Amino acid sequence: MASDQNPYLSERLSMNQKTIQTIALATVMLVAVLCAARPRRAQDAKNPYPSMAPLDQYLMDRNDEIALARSAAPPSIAKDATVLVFGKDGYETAVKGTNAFVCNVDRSWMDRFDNSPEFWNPKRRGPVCYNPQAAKTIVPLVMIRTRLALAGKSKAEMKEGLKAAIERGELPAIEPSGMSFMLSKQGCLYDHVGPCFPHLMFYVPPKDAETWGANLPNSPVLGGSPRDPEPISIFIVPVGQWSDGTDAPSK
Amino acid sequence: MSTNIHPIEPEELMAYLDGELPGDQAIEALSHLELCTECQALAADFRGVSQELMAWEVESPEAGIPAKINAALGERLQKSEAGKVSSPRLKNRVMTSRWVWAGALAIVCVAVGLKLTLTSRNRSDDRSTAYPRMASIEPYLMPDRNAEIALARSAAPESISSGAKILVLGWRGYETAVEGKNGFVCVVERSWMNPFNSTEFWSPKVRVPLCFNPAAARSILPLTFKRTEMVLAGMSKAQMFDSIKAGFDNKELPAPGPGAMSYMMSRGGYLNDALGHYVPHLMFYVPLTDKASWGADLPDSPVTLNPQFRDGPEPITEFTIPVGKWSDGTAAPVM
Repeated sequence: MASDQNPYLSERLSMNQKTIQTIALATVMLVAVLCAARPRRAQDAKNPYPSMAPLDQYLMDRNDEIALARSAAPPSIAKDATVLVFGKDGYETAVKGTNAFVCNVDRSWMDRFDNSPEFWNPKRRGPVCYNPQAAKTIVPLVMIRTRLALAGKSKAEMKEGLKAAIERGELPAIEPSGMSFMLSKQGCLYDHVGPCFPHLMFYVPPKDAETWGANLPNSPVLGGSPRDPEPISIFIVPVGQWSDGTDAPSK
Repeated sequence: MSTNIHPIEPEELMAYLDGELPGDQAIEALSHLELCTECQALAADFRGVSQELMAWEVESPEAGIPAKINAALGERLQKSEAGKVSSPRLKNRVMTSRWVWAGALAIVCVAVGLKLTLTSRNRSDDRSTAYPRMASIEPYLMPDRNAEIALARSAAPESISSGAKILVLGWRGYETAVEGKNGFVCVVERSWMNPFNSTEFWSPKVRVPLCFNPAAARSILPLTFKRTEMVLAGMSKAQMFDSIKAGFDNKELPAPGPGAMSYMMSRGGYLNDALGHYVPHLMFYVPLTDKASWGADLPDSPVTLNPQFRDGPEPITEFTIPVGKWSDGTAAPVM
């Protein structure tokens, strides 16, 4: 029996078609909405800290910061070190040292410029104690980057600003025996890493990672990749104990 | 030492230490000596005796003979020279003087024997005489070239040492056994790379495998070559010291290059009698600096000063940092 021969059947068919069309339209819209939302979430995960957070989020209690900075190295070194703390106007000397080591708590903008999704992570705290040779170069580097960050520069602008500062000769050349201690178990280097693992850092003129055998299977040396525009390579060597002498989990 | 246990007799061991064994026997002796602690102790005693004998200076006979006998001997010699006289009485007098000589020699022998006995008793407490001098080059050589290549490579993870140049020690110094392609150079250093005041400067047991990174291969490895050349040339420690100092003074020897470092992660090395194969570690070479600038040797610091160049002619400071694993990736004991 043909539908055009049955008015009831023809009306039901017309109603069904409208229902199907409505459902189809709703489905298309839902898919469209979902598809539009997914890239945004992926983008958020890839770049959770797209810009600098309010300054207060990077600050901490002064005495806590002094203690955290000192925790980067064994007390036998840190107790006599100069300690810098971060304030609204930048780093300032909180404790004047006697052994030429300098301890401070790095903020997130000390990260490399490329492939650094946590460049503006306000939770990041990187306690470090520089030996006298490293302090001559790396402390000025900390000051320059921090000055640019507090000036409200974007990551790209900071990179350009740092490059210009280096070209003006504001950054002393790295000395051959520059190194630092990062042995604190209280630091927070990245969201997914936490306090990381105790390690030493070595600063040398730009080199390929291969020249230290870094990042190869069973090699105890990490890092060494370029840090444009800084004329420095940084190598990392994990060690077995935290600054308080307790054993760290094997790396 | 029983021949049922040891494949070499004590006399052969002594000959080996004096460099008098032929090549194949020397290799057999060395192979056994490296494994046998009893023989190592005996060898140390032999070396001590050798040193005592070398240091022993025989006094002029006139000093130990009574004046009357000396005068009579002189008179007799004069007569003998003048007339070439020969008589039974004269022969008796000569015989008398021979008895005096024999008596004096016996007294000296007893004295030396007594001193050697006392020295032997004290030897366990006197390590400074354990390796008094270089006996010959053989004990320092590894008879198996492939074993030395493998030992050198074991200083760094395979991912590094497989592409490294390998050197082995031969009769005329270090020679290239395997060409490299990554700029690293692996070598087994010998005892003369110890500090000059080390009691084990001449220990033939020392085997120090290490792999220099390219910067260290350019600036630190030349020191290994230099010291080895001088040792093989028979130079004394004092001569070596002065020559190295002059080498740096006139810029023939380079300063440590930026980033000069090396791997020492072998479990097969033998650094010295006290440390054995020690723990896996990295070494860093920097121009002369105060060890405090690296926080070295302070409580809970992972950095220690390596004494290799301390108080030496090399203007180099060397730091050591232990790492957690041997070159094969297995966990090392906590230091």
